[in-house]
Amino acid sequence: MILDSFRQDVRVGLRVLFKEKSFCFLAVLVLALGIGGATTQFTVVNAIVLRGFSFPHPEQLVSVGLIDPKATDQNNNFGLGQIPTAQDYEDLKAAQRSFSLMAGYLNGSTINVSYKNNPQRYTGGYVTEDFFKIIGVSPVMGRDFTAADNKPGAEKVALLGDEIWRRDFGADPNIVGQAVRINGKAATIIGVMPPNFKFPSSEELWTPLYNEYPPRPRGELFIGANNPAPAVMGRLKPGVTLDQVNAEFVGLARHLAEDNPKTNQNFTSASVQPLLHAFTGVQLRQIVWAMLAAVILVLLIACVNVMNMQFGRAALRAKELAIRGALGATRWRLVRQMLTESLVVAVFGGIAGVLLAYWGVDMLVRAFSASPFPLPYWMQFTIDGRVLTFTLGITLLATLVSGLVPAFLSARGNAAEIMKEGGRGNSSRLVNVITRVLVVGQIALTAALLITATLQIKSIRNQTKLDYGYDENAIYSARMALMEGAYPNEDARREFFIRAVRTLRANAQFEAAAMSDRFRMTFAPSGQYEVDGQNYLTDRDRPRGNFESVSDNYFATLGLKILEGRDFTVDDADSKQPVAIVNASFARKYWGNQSALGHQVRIFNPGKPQPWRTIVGVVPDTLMQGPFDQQTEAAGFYTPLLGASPATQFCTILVRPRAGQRAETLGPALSKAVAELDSNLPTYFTGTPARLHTEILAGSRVVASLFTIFGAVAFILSAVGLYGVMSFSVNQRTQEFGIRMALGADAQRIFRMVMTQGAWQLMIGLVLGAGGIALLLGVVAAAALKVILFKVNALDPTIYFAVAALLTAVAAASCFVPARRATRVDPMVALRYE
Amino acid sequence: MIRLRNLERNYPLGHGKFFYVLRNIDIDVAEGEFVSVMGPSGAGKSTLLHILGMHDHGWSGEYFFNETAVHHLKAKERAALRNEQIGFVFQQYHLLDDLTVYENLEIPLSYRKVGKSERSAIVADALDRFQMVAKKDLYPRQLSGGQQQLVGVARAIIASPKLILADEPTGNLHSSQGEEIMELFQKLNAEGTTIIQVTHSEKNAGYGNRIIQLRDGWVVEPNKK
Repeated sequence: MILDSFRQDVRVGLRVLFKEKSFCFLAVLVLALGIGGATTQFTVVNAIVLRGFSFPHPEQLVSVGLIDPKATDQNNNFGLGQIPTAQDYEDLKAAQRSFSLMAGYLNGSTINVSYKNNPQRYTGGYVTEDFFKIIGVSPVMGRDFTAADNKPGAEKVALLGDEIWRRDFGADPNIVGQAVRINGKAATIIGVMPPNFKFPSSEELWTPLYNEYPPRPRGELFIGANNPAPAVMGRLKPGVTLDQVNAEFVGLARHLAEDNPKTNQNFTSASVQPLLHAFTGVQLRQIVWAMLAAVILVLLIACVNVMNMQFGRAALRAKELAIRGALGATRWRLVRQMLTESLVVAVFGGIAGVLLAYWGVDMLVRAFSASPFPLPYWMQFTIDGRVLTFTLGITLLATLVSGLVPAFLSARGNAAEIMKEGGRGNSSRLVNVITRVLVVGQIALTAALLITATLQIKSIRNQTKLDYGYDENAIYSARMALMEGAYPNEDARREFFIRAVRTLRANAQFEAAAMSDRFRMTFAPSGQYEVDGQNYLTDRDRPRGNFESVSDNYFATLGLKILEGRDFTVDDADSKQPVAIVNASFARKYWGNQSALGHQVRIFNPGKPQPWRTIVGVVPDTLMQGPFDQQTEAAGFYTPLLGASPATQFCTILVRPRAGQRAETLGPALSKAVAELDSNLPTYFTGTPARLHTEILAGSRVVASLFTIFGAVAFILSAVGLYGVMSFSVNQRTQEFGIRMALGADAQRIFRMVMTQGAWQLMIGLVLGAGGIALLLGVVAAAALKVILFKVNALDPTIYFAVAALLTAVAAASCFVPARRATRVDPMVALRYE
Repeated sequence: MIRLRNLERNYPLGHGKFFYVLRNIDIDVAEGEFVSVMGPSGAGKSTLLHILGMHDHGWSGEYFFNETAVHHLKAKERAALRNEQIGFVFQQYHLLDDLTVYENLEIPLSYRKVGKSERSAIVADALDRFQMVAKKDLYPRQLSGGQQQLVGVARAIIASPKLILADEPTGNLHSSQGEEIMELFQKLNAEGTTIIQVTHSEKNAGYGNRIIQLRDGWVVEPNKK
């Protein structure tokens, strides 16, 4: 019976909607935009936060880190913690009882492979023997790693990813057992992993961790960027909860701190979290949820628009509903009829929205594929069952939000009165109040969304407009990794670096050449340091800053002049006389107008005190921390790369073209020059610093584009909605305006009335929207925003005023046309309306 | 007070043809008269009333109001003249739903730029005169039909118009309420206000001095007593 009447309602609904083509088209379009946006964004949320790993019992997979409870979020890897040394991992593994298996790994690392004399750099993983056993994945060909493979000095072995096996190894079915050179050492391929497997993020091959990086005594290595201490994951024993394992590891951390005060005294706590969190940092999760909230806001604005259109229709259809009521339809039956029509519209909107989402997701996948930092392979942006269920849910929600109130209010009209009044419709006071409130709500939502979007866009604009302090298009850079096989000790690496700069400088193609340890010419190492003459009571009192290891002639290659003192020379060696060059901000910060030369500075390493370095030069500021870290200040210093102890393994080569040549054309010449130095040494991350910076911000630009789209859609919807509501309101008040004019009101007065009504709604909406978002961004989410927004004040008054001005202009334009129409109401016609 | 000569009102039907609502109307109404306009539906009664009230501008012919040639006035000048001289009473009352009785009475005065204190005095006087003081804060929907029309009449005379135009003022009222309104009109007329009402009711028409009969847009009887 109910099904039958539903079918009848759908039939009637389709007929009515077909008749009202423009309403139907507009409503479906508006809902499609809202539902499409929400579905696209939910696909992202699903991929990044919800779907997770497809391994057996993924809930048992966790990451482990040690925490300094008094340090900043940033120092604690945003709550995930870190393992200071491989020895800590070994100690924790030996003492713990909560895990059935634990593994250490370095992901996203460089692995140089030479196969048939073709050197290639891969993104790979250095892993301990239980890495694949923990996640329950085995090679499809060959065998897994064993504890013996992981031992330092054991024969080097590697597991290939399916993709490179097919691409670079010709899908050779006899690949197992074949010899290659890995990081300059003879190695054997022992297997191939399943297709589409790139765990933990985008690794293409894997090799044992300790075989490459033997565990070293505590304190021998820096705590920081170059520390090859592994990340740690584990599989919980069945029945062990996160609380229990956290309690156990906090205790273990405390013991480690007591036993090893030199290296671990600050790491008195621990953090065991779902493994997924290790790859979807808190910042990423916050951004995707914030974006979902933004698109839900857009959807709500769309629903409000449709709701307003429904009010307009309901007013026109009041007589029809009254007749239905007079013929015996109950109020619930009328509500159902109207809701069914809303459902039909929402379903069409949902279908169009899903099609839009397929397009949107495709665009996103393309955008992220173009990024130099690909998403982990298990983050697949696909519209699956969960996404479609979500879409179904929001379609039903859109039906209710856009249709329930208009349906209910239309159905409660007084049939006798409506029919007696000759079909003018039920201009219920309540409907007027509701539509006005809706406009206020719509303005508030749009203001909130536009402010958020503008802050985000400004943040990303700040990232892209950073002044690095030199001409980023004037030089060409490439990264290389001197692995232990080919360069087994520091002397070998140092000798190579000196030979390399000498050869490159002699090359006729290059005017200048230098080296730096800065990653992608963007990120320099950072950490705590000490300055002579300053007193530090505790470890935490030491300031944080950036320091970069550079060769001689580095500043000249960048086109910078030494401001005071001298440049590094090839003879500046840490083993003889440790020296440093500071930048102008650093010199100003500590010595004001006095000379910094002769003063001393050193990197702070509690485990292994570093030598004091005498400052021999002052150079202009360059941006050292890249486009993400806004916490550190401009003050920074440089240390000599060629005479560094320990000598770095990874370095960036910089070359400057001769006059008349463009830097971006230097790629082939540089590759050739490096190949002549070492035919097995691949170069990677190549390009001008400007291009590298652009690549790094590819993901940010996707986010900015999305926010721009959300903002623009919300803005358009709002403008259309506002116009619709004002128009509807004027229609509803035609008779009132007629009466007022009959009683003596002139056109100006009527115009003012309509505009004033709009102005009030605008003002209340702006106060609620801007005030609400200011409260949210400035107070509730202030801490998170410091990480998300780059050098942007979340309460930046210019943005708030600009959005207010924009919405005021739109509101004025939206009210103007209906207000003009109101002034043209013919009292005679209006009074006869009834 | 009112002199209409050869007044006509038509609507184009297309192809150069017109539909005439009023044809060749010659009417005189003297100051102090109480005139009823009668006729069957579609005779043009309401159209005539709206022309007299200067809401309708699409007519031809001559219309003199107290010797002012309305047909020569611009829309703005007509509006000014209307605001000064004419009050309206409607069949549907046409009170503003969102305003109280007091505010409904006040609104014509505010449109005529009467000062606030003077407005208060005039409204208070009207409320007293129409015995509606107790209802001044009620909204129209809280009043009976008769009471609403009483407010409608009070609103029509509050700016002291010389002429009241009433379109079926008792059409929506019970007979007793209708009588009350008609007696009120009679009283206002006796006090000097000229009244022209459109009505279907012979009984209501009987409250006036004379009846103008319209049929198919023509005046068929200008002086029926």
